[in-house]
Amino acid sequence: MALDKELLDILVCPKCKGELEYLEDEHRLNCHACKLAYRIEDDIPVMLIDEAEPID
Amino acid sequence: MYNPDYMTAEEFDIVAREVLAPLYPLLARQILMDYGITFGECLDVGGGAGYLAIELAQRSGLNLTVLDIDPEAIEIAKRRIAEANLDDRIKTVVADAASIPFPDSSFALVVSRGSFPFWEDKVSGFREVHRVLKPGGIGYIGGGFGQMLPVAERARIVETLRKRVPGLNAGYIPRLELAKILHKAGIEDYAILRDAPPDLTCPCQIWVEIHKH
Repeated sequence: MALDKELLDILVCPKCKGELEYLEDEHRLNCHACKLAYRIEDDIPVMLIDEAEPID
Repeated sequence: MYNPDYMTAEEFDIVAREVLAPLYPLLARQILMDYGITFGECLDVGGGAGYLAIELAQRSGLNLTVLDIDPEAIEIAKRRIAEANLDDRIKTVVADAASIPFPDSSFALVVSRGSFPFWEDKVSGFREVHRVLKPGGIGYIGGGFGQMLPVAERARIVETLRKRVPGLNAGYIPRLELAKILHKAGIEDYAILRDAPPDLTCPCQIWVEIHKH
């Protein structure tokens, strides 16, 4: 099953509840406010703050 | 019900499939009948391998999202959802109940079975459930088997679980403590319910019904 576009539209950052930017090629969802990147693994968004990676 | 120190997702899935299976369709029917929320968006918090979500989807017009902190459980859920041909109705996401990645007022119904006793931060978990509920929405969060499972069947399941699941009642939270947690979470309109008749050998059979205004 492909990544659910409807899900991507409604997901927000679990930390600040703000908007996310979907980077399709990098399989990531970025929160610019928190400067965190959430990975998408096997088409499943992993929205865990502890596992998010810092971005510049 | 997942806790890394407790059981793996695969181990819990075997128990769900072999022991708990009869309760999911009955629990789904109970929830749909009691609350009459049969369309719109529903979130299953700590929904593990998706059993309750699948039963709810098969009996209603609800669109569901299964949220679980364990990626392995979500992998299994995806498989089961695909087998049930419900890919278009049930979404999956790895997330923590204490930090739900959805906007305020997103769901008409939030369900959760066998998960909250294992939430590390229960106050945040309940606060988040309340936050994502739409006004007029219902949260049904608990650890029991539901009201519709025949007593004999319930006893048989408890007996089997006792043999197979270490520390079955480890997650038991007394009613007063639960009330304190809900108060801290800022939830005012709720009811703490027990499966009837109460099974004293398995005190985890407790539910919180949350009303969002």
